[in-house]
Amino acid sequence: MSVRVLIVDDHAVFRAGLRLLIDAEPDLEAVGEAGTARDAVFQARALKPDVILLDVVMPDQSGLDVVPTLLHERPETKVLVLSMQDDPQYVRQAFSAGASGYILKEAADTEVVAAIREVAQGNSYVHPTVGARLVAAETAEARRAEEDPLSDREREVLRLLALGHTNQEISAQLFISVRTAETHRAHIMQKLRLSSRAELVRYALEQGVLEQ
Amino acid sequence: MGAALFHRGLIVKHSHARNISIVLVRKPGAVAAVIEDDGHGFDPSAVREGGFGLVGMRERVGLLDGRLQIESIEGSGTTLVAEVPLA
Repeated sequence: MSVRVLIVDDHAVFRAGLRLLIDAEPDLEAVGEAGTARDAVFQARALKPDVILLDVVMPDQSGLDVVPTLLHERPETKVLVLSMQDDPQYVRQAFSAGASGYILKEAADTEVVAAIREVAQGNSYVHPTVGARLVAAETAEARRAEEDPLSDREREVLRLLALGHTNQEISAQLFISVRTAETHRAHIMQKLRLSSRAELVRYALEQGVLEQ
Repeated sequence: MGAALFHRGLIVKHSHARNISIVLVRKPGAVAAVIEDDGHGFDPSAVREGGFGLVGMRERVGLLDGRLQIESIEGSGTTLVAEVPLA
């Protein structure tokens, strides 16, 4: 049985191109097309496709906005997002909306067929370059969190503590209660495994916190 | 300065602190000594006149036109900040 695909994109020429690529494969079948997000919901309801190739930027609303609706109506449907954006942030958005795959329009001709097969089998697919960038971004984030475990607020409190301010002064400067200032301090000490202000000052100097 | 103003023995004697941290901070037109211990702390508002040697410290800081701030929470140590203007 072939994989039934619904093509959603606001450009008719692009849809026609995708249809040619899909129909050239014996195991894939383009069962319909939609030019708006709204129409995508109607077509999906009527055609019950296995995979929806979904454009992001469309005239009525973002394709990503209708992903939850599409999946709610038919949870076994797989959504493969077609995007011009190679920013890892958009990939994350697409996946958290419920998409199973993410491909770039510029590479659609070479990878759309493989991507459709992957998501139809229940796997995920991300354009390799974008995937690599996503991993790199997440690694960098994790490293940053490890090197500097403090929140922005705690960093600010650390700076003021290192400059010799009392909890009272810190609370007045940051418009927080004295108790909150004390709590921040306790968290900073705990996170950094420090036990005195002298150690806090050394840490702040080493981290360049005082140069801000 | 910290040592001159605050008797180390005084802190240890009263607070049962195990560690004392002294930080000298240069501020615009002033220098501050921030002295902290990890002792049992006390309620600063409940200090009787002449108790804890705090009055003596305040006097000495006052002689230098400085000011003394005390923060202490019962159970979690004490912070003394003596700020003295630079001539």
